[in-house]
Amino acid sequence: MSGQAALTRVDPEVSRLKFEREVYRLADQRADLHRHGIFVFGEPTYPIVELIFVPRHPLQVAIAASQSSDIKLPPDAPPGAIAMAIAAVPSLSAQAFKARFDLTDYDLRAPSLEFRDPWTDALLPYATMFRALEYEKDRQAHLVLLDDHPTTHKPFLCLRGIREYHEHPQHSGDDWLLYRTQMSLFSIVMSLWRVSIDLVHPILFPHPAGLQVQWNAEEKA
Amino acid sequence: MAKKDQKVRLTFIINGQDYPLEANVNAPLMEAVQRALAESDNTGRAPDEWEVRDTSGVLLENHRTPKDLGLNEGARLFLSLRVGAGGVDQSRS
Repeated sequence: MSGQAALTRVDPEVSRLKFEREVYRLADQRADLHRHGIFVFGEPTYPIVELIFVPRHPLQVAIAASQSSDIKLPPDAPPGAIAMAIAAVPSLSAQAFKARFDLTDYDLRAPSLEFRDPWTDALLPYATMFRALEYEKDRQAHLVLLDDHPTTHKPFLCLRGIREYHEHPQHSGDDWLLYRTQMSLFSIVMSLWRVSIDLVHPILFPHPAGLQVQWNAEEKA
Repeated sequence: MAKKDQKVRLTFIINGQDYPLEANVNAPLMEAVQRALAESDNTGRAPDEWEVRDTSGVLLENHRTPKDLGLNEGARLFLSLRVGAGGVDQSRS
């Protein structure tokens, strides 16, 4: 973090009161959060709120379809293409993760978000962590969990309401202050659930070099 | 249908707060959305910048009625500002 970014910009007492309001709202909506597989982790202490997100979609595995199966390749399939069938493995799904929100300077600045291992508390490395995808009718599926934020150099969620989005040089025209009265930590948590849990389906594909996980977005606008 | 039966009680959850109200089952859901936004003092943005999802995350079309949408008494609906996203246009990595 740069020296400038480390400066506190809001009276901590003001920020603390707003933090407590957000934590209260999470507690008030506990039942709905639990129904979505979201659990507040421990006792939130200013300025940190941690939540565990539990994936719900079963892992899917792509398997080569036998020649006798009903699955046929389209006529324009390239030479060497293999017909694949997808099977769900109900006992397996993606790994749960911890979302760590930092509300320092809230709500002059949006909540900052990191992704951590719920067992070790270590930052999740981008190469092996889950993927988050948004789906919009016009734009179709797009990846919103990206690696190497220009300031933090950590994986970050490129979504409105997240500090790393609003303070990214490419989004300097989409200031958090335009939205802060219409957004809350609760609404941001639900947006994270949508793009990281609800929409994404991990599929394991056999590959000549081993196995590859693809994260597909459900076409759910 | 009796007048009483034409109403359904819906709860809009806006920024983590409940806003229960009675909605006409035959009027577009947008009518109830506008009342919920007014009640929660969220009048700074046009109603069409907000979206309604049910508890399964399904986007509800505001021009349809609660009856058409199959919304039952006590339904909980998440009303939130459209988030918009940056990111990159690829469906897998």
